[in-house]
Amino acid sequence: MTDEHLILACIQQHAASQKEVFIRYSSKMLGVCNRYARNTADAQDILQEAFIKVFNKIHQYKFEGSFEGWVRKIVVNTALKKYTLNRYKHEINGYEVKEQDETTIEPSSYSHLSQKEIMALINKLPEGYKLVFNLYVIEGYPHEEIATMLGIQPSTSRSQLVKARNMLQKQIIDIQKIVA
Amino acid sequence: MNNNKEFDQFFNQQLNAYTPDVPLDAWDKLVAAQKKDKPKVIAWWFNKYTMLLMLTIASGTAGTLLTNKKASTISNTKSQLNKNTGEKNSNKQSQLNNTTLTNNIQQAATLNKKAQPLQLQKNTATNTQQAVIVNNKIVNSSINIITKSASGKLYMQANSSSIAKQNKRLVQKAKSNNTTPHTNVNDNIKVQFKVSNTYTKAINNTATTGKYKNDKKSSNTNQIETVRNITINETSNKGLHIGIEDVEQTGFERANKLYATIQTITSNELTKTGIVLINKAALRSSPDCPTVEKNAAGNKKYISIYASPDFVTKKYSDTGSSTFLNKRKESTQIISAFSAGVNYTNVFANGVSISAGLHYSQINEKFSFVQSNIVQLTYAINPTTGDTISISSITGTRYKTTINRYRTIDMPLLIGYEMGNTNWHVNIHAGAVVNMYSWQKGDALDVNLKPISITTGIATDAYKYKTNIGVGIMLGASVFYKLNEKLHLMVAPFYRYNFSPISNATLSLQERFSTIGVKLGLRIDL
Repeated sequence: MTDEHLILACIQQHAASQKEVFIRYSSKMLGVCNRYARNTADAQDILQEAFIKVFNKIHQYKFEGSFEGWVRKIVVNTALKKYTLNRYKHEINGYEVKEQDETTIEPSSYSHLSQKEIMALINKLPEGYKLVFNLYVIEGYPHEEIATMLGIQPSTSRSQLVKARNMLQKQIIDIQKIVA
Repeated sequence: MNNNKEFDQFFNQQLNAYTPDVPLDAWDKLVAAQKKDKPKVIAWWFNKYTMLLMLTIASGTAGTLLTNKKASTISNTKSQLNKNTGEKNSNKQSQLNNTTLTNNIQQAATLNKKAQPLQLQKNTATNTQQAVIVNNKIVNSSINIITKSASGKLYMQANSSSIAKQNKRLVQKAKSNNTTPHTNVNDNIKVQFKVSNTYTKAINNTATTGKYKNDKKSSNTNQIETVRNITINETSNKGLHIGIEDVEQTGFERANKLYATIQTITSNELTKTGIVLINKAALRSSPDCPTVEKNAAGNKKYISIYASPDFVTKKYSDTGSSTFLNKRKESTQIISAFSAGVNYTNVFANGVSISAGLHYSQINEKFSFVQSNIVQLTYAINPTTGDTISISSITGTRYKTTINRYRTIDMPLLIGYEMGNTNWHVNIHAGAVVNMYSWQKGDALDVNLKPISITTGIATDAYKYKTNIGVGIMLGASVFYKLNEKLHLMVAPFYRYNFSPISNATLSLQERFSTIGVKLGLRIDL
């Protein structure tokens, strides 16, 4: 069954089709959730909440762009809502970056890392860095859009990204030292 | 830059392809949550705004119900009075039958004093006669709608100038019809009441015999009329009085406009003399003004519990740098404030009240700080070789946003004056607010324009705030509505001003708060 057929059936609240959609996309979306969540249990909660939204709002899907992208957007927004809004509303404390020197880490030092190792590195980042890194590098949002989503300045988003990269690179270097 | 792009690309590829195993029971949990999640729609609607809306609707409904209940109570009381009067009339009937007109006047006046208005139903001729007398001598008559001039013409008096003008026109119109009124003894004057709006209340059928006769009712929804014939029993220049009772008895008390057509009948000839627009507002009894009522407002002890949304203004004064003062002002913004408390009040017999209590207040303020052109260098060093692996520098702006909280516990000592009636009380009060303890948390700009943590009461810290801000004043007025014998609903706007600043006296910059709030709560009658 194609995505289109499944979606039409889901609009009709067809339970089997909803399950099929879940089976098709849940694994990939759990990967997304894992990058935003603090732990596995939180990630599963986000996944569940996001799919409930998907099924409740599936009639709003206009068959423009990929369905996976639409689902992914809902998952990301659900994760952001869970973790960011309150924190950013109450206290923001950070640095805004205008320019930055290049770091000198070589691709050979991280190319051998496995998906699990990369995920572990991402999860070690402070929450603010992790959010911006995920949204910019993985989801591909521009800084202006990230700023709107998080209620911060675009320059703040840039600075968080730089710091996230620096921290990841430092972690990679540390891993190499341990290996050596 | 290329290194960054490669780095990002690598992470993007790896993480986008990351597909962890989903727990087997994930779908079952989702289905269960989906069923459970449906009431959330209601929960979403049941937020603070909906609560506020519902509260407003509930208050309105409660107010309407209470008003209706009060009106119903009055109506019941009236019915009871009418019933009692009717019984009294019935008992007196045999005595009245053979008495003289003078006796009737006296007895009727006595009855009228005891129970008004007088109901005119199922009356005998004698009773009707009595009623006529009563209505000609209405004790509480509030308006004269027609009086007789020396020349024998009829004219109207009205309480409202606009009504008077309208009536004057109506009379002139009547005059132009060559009507010549007569108000001699034994003349019949017919007073016809009319309403011009939709009105469904039934009109009482009154006597069809005697001098108060020919009452009728119309079922026309747009025009209901009733006619009363009144016999002038004595020659008098005082004119004909039509009182509230007449109008109420016609069932027109709820009509918007009430016209009375005055007609005189002489030798069985009907002569139209004028139409009177009765000022309904004048007929309605005014609402009770709050007065000192010993039993209601005085000699009472109360405990009040309240909470209030507050509007706070912060005033700065600085004997030093005006730049610092401006920066401080720019860096902060009051975002919300509230207070809550409990009060004991003693109202003496003469209405004077004293009260004391505990008052907690909290002011929330947003502190924003921005510092530009900060350079930060990060070195990564290999601990074995001591070589620098990487160097990165960041040039940027530092910013900080904090929610500051200013809290106080005070003891208000107020003196006031309370007045009221059975249901409503008003207390106007003023007095001192003695601070018991103050504490603050958050950030502020120091004299070097850097953020510094606010501290409370630490003597060694130059940037401290006081633990006691001394005495302030509070002015206010409370309005209470009696819910039942024990509980009063309270709405009390107030103003509070602190004489002393909250900041340390050693600082050149001083800060003061003043507050306007509305206490909402309950008062318990002890």
